[in-house]
Amino acid sequence: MKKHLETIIALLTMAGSMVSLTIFANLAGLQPPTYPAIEYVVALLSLGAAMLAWEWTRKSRTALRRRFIVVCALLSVIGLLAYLFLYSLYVEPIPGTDERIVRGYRCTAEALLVYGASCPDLPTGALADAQWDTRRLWTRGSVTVIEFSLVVGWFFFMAGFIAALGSIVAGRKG
Amino acid sequence: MRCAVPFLLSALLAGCNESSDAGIAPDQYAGTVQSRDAPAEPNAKVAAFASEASASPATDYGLMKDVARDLLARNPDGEFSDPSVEDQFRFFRSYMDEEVADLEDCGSLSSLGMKPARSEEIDRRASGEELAADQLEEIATYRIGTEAFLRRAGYRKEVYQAPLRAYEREALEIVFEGEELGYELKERLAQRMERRRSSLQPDMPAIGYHGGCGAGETAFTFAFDPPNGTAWLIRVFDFELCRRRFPEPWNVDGACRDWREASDDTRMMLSGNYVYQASWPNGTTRRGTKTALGDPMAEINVMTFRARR
Repeated sequence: MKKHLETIIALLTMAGSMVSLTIFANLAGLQPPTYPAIEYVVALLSLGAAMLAWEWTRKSRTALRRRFIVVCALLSVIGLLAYLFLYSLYVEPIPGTDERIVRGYRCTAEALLVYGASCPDLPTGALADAQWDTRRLWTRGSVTVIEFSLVVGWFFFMAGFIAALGSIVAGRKG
Repeated sequence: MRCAVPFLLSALLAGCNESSDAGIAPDQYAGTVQSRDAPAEPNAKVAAFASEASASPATDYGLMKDVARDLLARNPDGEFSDPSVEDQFRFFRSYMDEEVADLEDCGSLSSLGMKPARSEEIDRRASGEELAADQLEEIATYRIGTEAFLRRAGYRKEVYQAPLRAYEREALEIVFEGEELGYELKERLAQRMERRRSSLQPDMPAIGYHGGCGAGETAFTFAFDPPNGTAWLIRVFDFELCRRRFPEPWNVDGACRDWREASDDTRMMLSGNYVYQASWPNGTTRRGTKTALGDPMAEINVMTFRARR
């Protein structure tokens, strides 16, 4: 009975941490732009990662569990750094709105005609000139790759963090 | 036949904020002509799509994407070779994301199957006859694409067929009278369809015409000082393209077809920078650029054109 209670408390701790992290990130406006409700999808995947971490590490030896925690923490840090790097390079807020758009890295034929050598690193003014329609300026493929990379980086950050946290909670001895 | 430019920008709703204004020298936009690619074939693929799409209702739009890819692949180096055009199918995005069938196609349906003109044809393109031909193709492609989409989405033909026929008839009348197609026709089309849908298929997503094809847009109306003016607006990016492609980028009835007319009773969804030319009944004209900085929370944003600073 006591063991059951401890398990429930541990799971609740994990779920609470995950939800808190997701909410915090959303409030800070850090979540990836463009995909609708992506923060909830990533939160679900992170929950899956936490459950896996729980399953794999709760009965494993301390050394193995610690190694797992270090790997997850590293993945989380790498994911966060990659996400922030891409965010700085490619995400652009639209002035006066809450909307953010994602740039691409290859100009369309039309953008090449107008901006020539400035491609693909176009100034913000070029976006305003094109009504903030990124796909007029950059090819869909290049915009999609960046959007997807942002989500992958965000996922590694969230899932790694939650899995590391899950492993720590799973290893707690009552 | 070919058609060169995305069809409607335009749109609706109301708003009240001031836009920023910057005058420019007209000669800043002296045009140069660039060479363009071969003319288009007829839209057989789109017609084929329409007949194929008569199967069971579905909310996926893979087939339409395939058609778009196929049409665009015919012209790999052309103006419309960018496969991103399929992403502009606002029909599908609005239907899937917001559960509204928005009849604004942002030019994606109207531009299916077209190819840019050869450089030696640019003069012909600027003639009224050529523009009429472009618009006929726009009407045909838009009608077929819209019908196919609504059918696939599960709307009954009683909802869309008669309004589309009326749209086609009215649009053809406008073209044969030598006028340009405006967004009002599509607004009316959506209203007619929505009336039928609400009684025949109340459980299906609403049909509307919401307009707006970029990001961060807010609704604008227009004011003139002195009153009774008329303005023409175009995105700066589109204007720069026209300037490089056509000899008369300022000619709103010419080959540069992205100009949109704005008067006292016009509403548009705008964001970013625009080139404008405004005129008043007393003969005053003004050209310049404006930035649409609307307040998304405001019900009314107003862009004001003044004859004098």
